[in-house]
Amino acid sequence: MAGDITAAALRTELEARLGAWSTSVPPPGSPGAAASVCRPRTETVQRSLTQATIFLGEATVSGSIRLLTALLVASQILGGGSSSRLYTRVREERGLAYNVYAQYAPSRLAGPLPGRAPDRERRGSARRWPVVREELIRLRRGRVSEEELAACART
Amino acid sequence: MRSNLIRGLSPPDEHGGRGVGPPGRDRAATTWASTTRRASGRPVSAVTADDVLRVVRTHWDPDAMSLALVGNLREAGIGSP
Repeated sequence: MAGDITAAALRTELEARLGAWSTSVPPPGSPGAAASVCRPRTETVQRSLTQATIFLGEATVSGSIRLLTALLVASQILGGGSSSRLYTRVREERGLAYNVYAQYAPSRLAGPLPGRAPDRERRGSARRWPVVREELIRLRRGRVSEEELAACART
Repeated sequence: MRSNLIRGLSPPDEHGGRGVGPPGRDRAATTWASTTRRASGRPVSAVTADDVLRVVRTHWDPDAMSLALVGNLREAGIGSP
């Protein structure tokens, strides 16, 4: 609102005109994770493409600075470059895809964690996403080395 | 046209179909670490291994993740298109 009016005068005018309004719907609470990617599901799209692409991810959370930075570092360790765990395992060791990466994307509501693996060889697709899943489980159950943390700080 | 699921799983800089390559980087920043510090306000060097394991175990659950596959799935032998 702009113009020759004070906040108090505006409040008086608004309450006089709108103060009797009522609602049966409670006001919305704080936004949570995006519903579209919050419920796990699988979707396939058949296309005649020379490369297949796999997306794997979920909406995680927005939160404290400490939490956000740790999530960004975790995504970098998992799939943030040619020395990442996913790249090493999926491309270098197994040859299942030309490229694979993970990225935590912070946003106002939530941060999806997409891991994507375009194919080098289409027949590798069936074996690829279980490997990505295995790396996620390994990261959750395993340990993070000082070398990996130092590499993130240098990147 | 991308589905809501694929759109939701795509990095923000890919929205609008501007490409399918690796995530774009902040052109004004020189390193990933400096980009991250600008985004989060906390230096990467302050993150510990325990920090990483804690957030991964709490917030990344493979069983809660969605999966989208796009391509010649019949030839790839996956899904049931």
